[in-house]
Amino acid sequence: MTSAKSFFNWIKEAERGHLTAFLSWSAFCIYCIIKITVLSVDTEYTFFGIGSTELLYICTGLGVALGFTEFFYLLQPKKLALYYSLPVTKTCIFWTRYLHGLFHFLLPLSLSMAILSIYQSSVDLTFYPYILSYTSKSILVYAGVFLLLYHVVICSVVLCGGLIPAALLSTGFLCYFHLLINHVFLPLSQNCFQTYYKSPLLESLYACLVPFEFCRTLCGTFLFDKTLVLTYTPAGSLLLTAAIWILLLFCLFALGQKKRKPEMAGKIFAFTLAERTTEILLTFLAGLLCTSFLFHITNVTQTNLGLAVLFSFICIAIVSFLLHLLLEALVQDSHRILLRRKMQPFLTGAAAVCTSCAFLAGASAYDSYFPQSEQVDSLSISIAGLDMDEDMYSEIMYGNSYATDKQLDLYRFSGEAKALGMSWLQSLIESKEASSRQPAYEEASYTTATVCYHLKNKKEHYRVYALSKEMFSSFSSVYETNEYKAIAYPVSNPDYLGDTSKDLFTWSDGITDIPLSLSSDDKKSLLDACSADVLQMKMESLSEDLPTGILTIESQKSGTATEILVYPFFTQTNALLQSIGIDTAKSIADYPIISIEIFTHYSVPNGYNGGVIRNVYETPEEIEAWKNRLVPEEFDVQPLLYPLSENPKVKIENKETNSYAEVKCRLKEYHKVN
Amino acid sequence: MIELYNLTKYFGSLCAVNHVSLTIPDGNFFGLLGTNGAGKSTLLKILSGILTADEGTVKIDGVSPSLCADSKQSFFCLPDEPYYFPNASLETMAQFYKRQYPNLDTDSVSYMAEALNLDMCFPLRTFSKGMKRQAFLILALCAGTRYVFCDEVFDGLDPIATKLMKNLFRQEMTRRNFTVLVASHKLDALQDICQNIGILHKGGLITSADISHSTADVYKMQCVFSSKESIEELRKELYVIHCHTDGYFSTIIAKGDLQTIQQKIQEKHPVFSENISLTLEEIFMTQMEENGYDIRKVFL
Repeated sequence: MTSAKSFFNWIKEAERGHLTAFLSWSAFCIYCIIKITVLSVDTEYTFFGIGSTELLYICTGLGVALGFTEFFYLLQPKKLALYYSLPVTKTCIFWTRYLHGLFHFLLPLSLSMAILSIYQSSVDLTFYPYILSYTSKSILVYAGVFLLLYHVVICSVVLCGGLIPAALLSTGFLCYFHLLINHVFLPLSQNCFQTYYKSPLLESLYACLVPFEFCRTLCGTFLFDKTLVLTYTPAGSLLLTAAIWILLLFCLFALGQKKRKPEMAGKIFAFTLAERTTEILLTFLAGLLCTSFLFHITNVTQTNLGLAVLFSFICIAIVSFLLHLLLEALVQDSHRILLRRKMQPFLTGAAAVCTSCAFLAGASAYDSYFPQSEQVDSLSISIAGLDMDEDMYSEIMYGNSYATDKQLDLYRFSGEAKALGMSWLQSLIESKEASSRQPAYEEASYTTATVCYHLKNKKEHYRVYALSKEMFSSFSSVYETNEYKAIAYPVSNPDYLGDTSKDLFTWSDGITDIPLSLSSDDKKSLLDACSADVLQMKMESLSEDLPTGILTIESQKSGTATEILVYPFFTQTNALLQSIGIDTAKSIADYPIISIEIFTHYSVPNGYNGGVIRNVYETPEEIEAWKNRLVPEEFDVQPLLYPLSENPKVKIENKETNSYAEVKCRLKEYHKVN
Repeated sequence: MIELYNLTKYFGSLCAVNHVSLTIPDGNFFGLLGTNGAGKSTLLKILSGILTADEGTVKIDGVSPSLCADSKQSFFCLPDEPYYFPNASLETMAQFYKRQYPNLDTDSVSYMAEALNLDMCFPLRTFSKGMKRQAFLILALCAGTRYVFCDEVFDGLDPIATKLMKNLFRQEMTRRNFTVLVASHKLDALQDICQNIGILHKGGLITSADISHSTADVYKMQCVFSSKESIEELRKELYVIHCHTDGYFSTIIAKGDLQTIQQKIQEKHPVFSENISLTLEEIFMTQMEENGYDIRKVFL
């Protein structure tokens, strides 16, 4: 029989179980039916290809299922004996199985994508221009996801001799780097580096080495906007990473299947090298997890480095040795040799200790890092609580980095603010205030400054510094630059809004919105006045006054609304507004208040009800006592400079309509009122 | 012809086949004998390409099966516990093997199955152990290969089925140039069909020879003596390989010229004496003794 004949003969033999075909075709059939049903009612937020989380799960599941069903014979000694005794090469059997699995994934995937794209284009005209690009890209990225998982499972089956070890090894392939980066390197960085905020290197490693993470990114499942989904093309680096993973695993199992000995079926590992590598990697990970945990609970620093190293070494040595004994007991056959490879756990444990000590040793250099000004292309600064609302500030306080990242993207300086920012940071680092996060200092620290140095060589270095009140006050030099204000208050540039002659101007005091009837010249004058006031504004002024109102400019062209906060110290703006009949001094206290409902929160033990006290003040005396402390929620824009507390709900009577309006407010501190 | 040269196979630190060199001539029923763990099955698996030898070469008709898959069409391997697909019937398996061995005679499979009262359409999983063995022996016989390698060939067969299968093997060997290599530790099952044997012990080949040639000067005499001293005297006078007394009956296996042996026995005035044929077990023991092995250590 020729090789080609034998190959096609074995392709037919691979069909025998029908399980692969059944799994794949039925999964895609069900997917098509569900998607067609959903697309018939919603084409805005339903995506059948890129952006579909369901398809990502299907491809992942099929990758795993098909990998096991196609190559399960490698784990069955009796079946192996039958196949290998037949007039066909081992390689032929292996590759026919590989192609069989691939065929039964790619064909139904392509067909289902084609059917769904035709269906969507028939019900959604906006999809029509993307029919070819979106469908082909979808097939490509989901085939990539399938191939990755398929290869991971094949590799595990080739390297292992049993189903459970193969399943565990697959899990290891998928989770190892997640554990190493997120549960070892990240906690170690956070514990050892006092100025650690985030590391682009760790983030890049996580994005590249954690298969689920880059599969999610590859498939665009983080996108929700239809236009973004339809035009989404994965980044070249992402495709390259996927290709490297797929090829690397392919080479590994292609080589492995050639060298694999059939008698290893039934054992835990089919290769001694795989056995040793797994033992080393697991012991190393366990050692590092142990270190990470110890550093976390003992709060080690450079001051107690020696003790920490000694303590860690003892603990890691014990953990590594016990884990090694356990693994050896599992992998060794009936001829068990006690203390085989006895140096291995100690060397691996030592590597774990060295790795964790490297973090401690590098902490000083990390925390005192300050690049040369000429190396820095731009500088991003985000100060927690400055130019953000209370909700954003609370998120930062709770450790959510989203708000800070958003601020860092926005507040990026490359001119005057960068130069002043660099000198401010230098003085900050030199004073050592920012490098201290000892408990005593924590209490003393006023807020934190998160910084990103964007270097000219495209590298980024993030740091977070604790700030004292004095250091925060000295930030005013940066705050009062035109560059900073252009970002924080875009209206400081008079040309920012362009032609506003036809735009709608509205004044809001937090309770009532008043449309302004202004000529083109009046509008321009008002904007110029705002610009001048913003440029003259001092940072310390923000700790003295809250906005009195908001000037909203609604574009008649784009429909977008721009809001300008007007403070009492905006003399020119206030004068102009007063000249057109706006009472800029009018506050919520000037409205007829019916009641004030205040919720006071206190802590209760877990499992107990309560924690909230609700007080309603309705008498004129009570209202009089509270009303001057009330501030509409929209004006709570400087939680650090002008902190407000509680969340009262205020009912204000509208005598014209004989109704009342409920306004969400905040409370000023007593001393601010008096 | 099958040629094995210096074949060695290790399972970890255990040497399962230890430098075995052997030649199996064509047209023979070759028995590979040995105790459990002697390396018989491993040797068969290496021969059929299931396992790869760590050292040495295997050549079947001058070609190494591990290098040329097509050369595997010249043999059919029947392991101790053959694999069949879930729910597969004899017919399904015959179709499967037909695709691998184009010379497989499906008509003969049907004919033999009918003769042995095996239903071709019933799933093999419903068959008893003996019926499964019969089914696979039929497939092996009808595959049209020049060689058949069987592990524990008649294991699980009742005496009638064993006899029938032996006849089928004999017919096939008469009809064409057909070589059978069987591995077994049940010597009685191979006694009347084996022409050549190879004896394995702890992975090593102790001996390999044609039964008729290797036992040409070994005789088994059954005698009854009036006194026990006669036996002791014979032990000294003859080259006695094995001697066993059960009641009045004494069995002596001795090496030498038949006339001399008979003359020495007659000198002791036996009540009864007769030359009977050697069993395979006795041949096996003879060979072992000749090669200097202590039988009791090997088999007892």
